Amino acid sequence: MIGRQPFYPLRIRRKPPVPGAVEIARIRLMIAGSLAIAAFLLVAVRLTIVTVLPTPEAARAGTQVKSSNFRVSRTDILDRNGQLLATNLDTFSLYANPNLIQNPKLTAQDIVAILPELREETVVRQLKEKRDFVWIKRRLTPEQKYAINKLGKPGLDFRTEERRFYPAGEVTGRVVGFTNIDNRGLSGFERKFDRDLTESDTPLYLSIDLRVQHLMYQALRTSLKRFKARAATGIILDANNGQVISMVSLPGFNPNYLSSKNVKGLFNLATQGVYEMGSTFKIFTIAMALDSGEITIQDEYDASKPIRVGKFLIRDYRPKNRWLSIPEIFLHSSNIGSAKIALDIGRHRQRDFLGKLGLLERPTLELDEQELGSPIIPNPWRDVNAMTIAYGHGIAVSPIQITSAVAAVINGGIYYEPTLLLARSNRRGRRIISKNTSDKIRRLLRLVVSEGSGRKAEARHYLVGGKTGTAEKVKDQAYERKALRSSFVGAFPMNKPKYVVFAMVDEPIGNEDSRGRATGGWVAAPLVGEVIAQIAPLLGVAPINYESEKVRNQMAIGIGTKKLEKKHFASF
Amino acid sequence: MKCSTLILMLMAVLAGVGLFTLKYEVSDLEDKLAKLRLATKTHHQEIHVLRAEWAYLNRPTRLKDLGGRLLFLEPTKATQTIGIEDIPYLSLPHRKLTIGNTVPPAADRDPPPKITFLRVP
Repeated sequence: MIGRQPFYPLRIRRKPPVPGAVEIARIRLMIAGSLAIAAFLLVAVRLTIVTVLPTPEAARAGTQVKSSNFRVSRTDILDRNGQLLATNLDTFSLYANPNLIQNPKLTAQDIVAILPELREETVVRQLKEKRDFVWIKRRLTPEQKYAINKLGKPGLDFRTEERRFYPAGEVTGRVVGFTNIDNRGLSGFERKFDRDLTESDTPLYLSIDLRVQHLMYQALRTSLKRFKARAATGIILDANNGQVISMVSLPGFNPNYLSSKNVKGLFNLATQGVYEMGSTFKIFTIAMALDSGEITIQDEYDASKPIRVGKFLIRDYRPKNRWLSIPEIFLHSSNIGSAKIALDIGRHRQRDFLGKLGLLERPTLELDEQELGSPIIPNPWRDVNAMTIAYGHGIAVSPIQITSAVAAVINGGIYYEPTLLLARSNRRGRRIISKNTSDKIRRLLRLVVSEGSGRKAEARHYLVGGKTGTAEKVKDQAYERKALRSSFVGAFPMNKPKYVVFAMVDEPIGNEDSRGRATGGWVAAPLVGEVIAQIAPLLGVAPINYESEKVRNQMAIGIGTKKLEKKHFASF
Repeated sequence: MKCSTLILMLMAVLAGVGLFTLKYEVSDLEDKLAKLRLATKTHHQEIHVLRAEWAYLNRPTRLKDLGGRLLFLEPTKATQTIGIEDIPYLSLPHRKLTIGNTVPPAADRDPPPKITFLRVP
């Protein structure tokens, strides 16, 4: 009854009620009521879902920052003391959305004021483009980013990109190498260990000591300037496990500012270049001779006149024109004597010996093959080759090879492959010569510094020993007397060598200080002495008392010949 | 209405309210955790940048220059080092101080070397 009155028009109201109308009304009421209940239920269910059950968004928001670990796409490189050598930093790249730029000309002016290396016309053109994304400049400094943000212009924004940063710059440039804009290693250690660096979370430790590296770098730079040389290189090697403490090649490059202009510095003299080393090779000749047991330190050779072999003439730089004992051959750097020793030992054994010292094959340093030079060796290995190789001509090896070989000869006779990685445990080496021979070589090397051509390498209190090497450079298939490559390979302290130091200067020009001379003894030897005096305290090498009985006995060696009956002890 | 129905309804309401508050508490905590994690990450990032800056400022080239200019430091000389066994005991005044094995054994008349810590020109 209730429902009838409002719904029925007046004229119908007067008629008697239609049978079944009440039922229809009820059904209608039921339908309306259940619809309303369904709607309320829907609201209730939805309310429960929204308030009580976690929504997918909320669930994600909670786990969004799942780990608090910060990770860069390329791990750090550290030196042996944990000093940072290479790391990834976020840099900011500026882009624009030209659709949002209101006044391209004005905006461009503001941008160019902050980034003067950009050209205004270019920026204006970029900002007028019908796109919604244009790069303006990649890799801004934080200051530049701040300045751009301060402009408050809409339409300018940044994207973060990682960039490799080398705090030590040029000092470690050559060893560590560099990466391209996409952070792929292109050179040096970065290239060789590209995969490890991108996949690992823990930093990689190099065997390099940044402090020592810096001192070597400074010394080489000074020498380069002083002698107006073309290039220079230096290596410091741990004599007892082959770890490279320092490796510098000049001219170098700063990996933070690489451009196509300084391509020259990319050549690594220390590992890539192979050179005729000159007299330094006599170390190996004598070591081979003494270790064979067929030649003793008292033996002597006739060095009174040059040897003619075919068209070659082997002669001495400062001829003594007499018989020389083995120590004298070494001390006076006699080519004639060395050549004769090599002939006595024989070319096959010489070849085997140099092979064992790793001088005939590409070294196995942790660098890309392109950066490791293959030695140039004679083929076939004739007697004449054996004679010239005895004093370091007719064979070209890289500085890292010669440094490792010298380390093996003086450390007691164990050869260790050179490495750039910090070794946590003892490394395995292989025996080359006996302890006894090694001991004699140490005395001979000390003799060269205390009495011979290496005097300028002396670093007082550190008992330096070493050998100079001066090679004439080959130009147009002939040796050029004026163009020299002066080197010195030294070690300290000589009674128990800890480190081997090698330095080579390419085409030095003699000056007043060196009395016009540009040989190894005048160029490379003082450099090495200076470096040793500075690095020894850093590397924890205790000063040596030269006068003590023990040290005198350790270094004493008779140098006279039997013929001259002149036997004396090297004094210091 | 039965008493048990009333109690059940009351419990249902209470459970609903409890669940509701707990849910919001948890979601608050989750927010907090996310914020903290983000902050940690940001700090790690900042530390990373600072480490790079520290390494840059401590590059040997710069330290050498600063040390030489401001602190008058020079490279250590061999004569400035002595062995631990050469440091005399105070209780043994007769024992002579010689500088390591670095210098020739001093003649008896040599005075013991003075140890100065900083030389400022």
